[in-house]
Amino acid sequence: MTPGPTAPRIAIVAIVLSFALAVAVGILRTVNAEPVERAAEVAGNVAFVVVFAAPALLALLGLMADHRSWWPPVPSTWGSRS
Amino acid sequence: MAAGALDLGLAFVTLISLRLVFVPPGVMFFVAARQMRGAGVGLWRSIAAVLVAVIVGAVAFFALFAREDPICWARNPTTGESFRLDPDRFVHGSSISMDSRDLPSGATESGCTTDSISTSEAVAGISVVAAMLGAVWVLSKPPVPRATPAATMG
Repeated sequence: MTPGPTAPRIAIVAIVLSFALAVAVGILRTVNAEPVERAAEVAGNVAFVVVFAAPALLALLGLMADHRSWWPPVPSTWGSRS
Repeated sequence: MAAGALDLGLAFVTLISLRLVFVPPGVMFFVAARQMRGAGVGLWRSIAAVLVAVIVGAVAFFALFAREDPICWARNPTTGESFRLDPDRFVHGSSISMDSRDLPSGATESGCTTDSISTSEAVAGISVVAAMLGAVWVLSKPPVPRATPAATMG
């Protein structure tokens, strides 16, 4: 299997999904809390989102470190019939 | 690979109702890592990066709940006003005891949470995540090839 443009695409989808889930968990915690608890836990909810976004941040770092292996894509080879 | 392992690890430690939600991105990270393998990082460095990500990531998660910071509140449903109560009066270890006479006038609803994430725990958690990202960045950088001296002519 040769590394192709599919690899970054699935990684990018996973990164976006992971970020979205982390933010969703943070919103859920905020909405679900009592007003007093919500006011006391602003920094806590931000930290919770950061911890749950850590896998996405890791993958983003990995893509940045490895960007030479897949960027720029070579359009002429995509979908070419030989 | 480290992202996939950490995502599955967080899926394991989180609430059971949210557990399955974190599995798909974890699996997708593994698929992406498999398809992009061959980045020039050695096996041992990859294993070290995965271990650091999972262990330090777990430390960051548990740092959020390192200390018990209970919060108690009471609410006046007519006005919608909430009051913060002193938790030391009501929370004793994992048990909560509260009487209606302890509530401020007009308040008929009340509750306590035995643990909340304080600002210091939040700062600790974010710092541990930052340290983990730095460590994994260093571990996953491909080694710089040594410069070979140019051949001399003549």
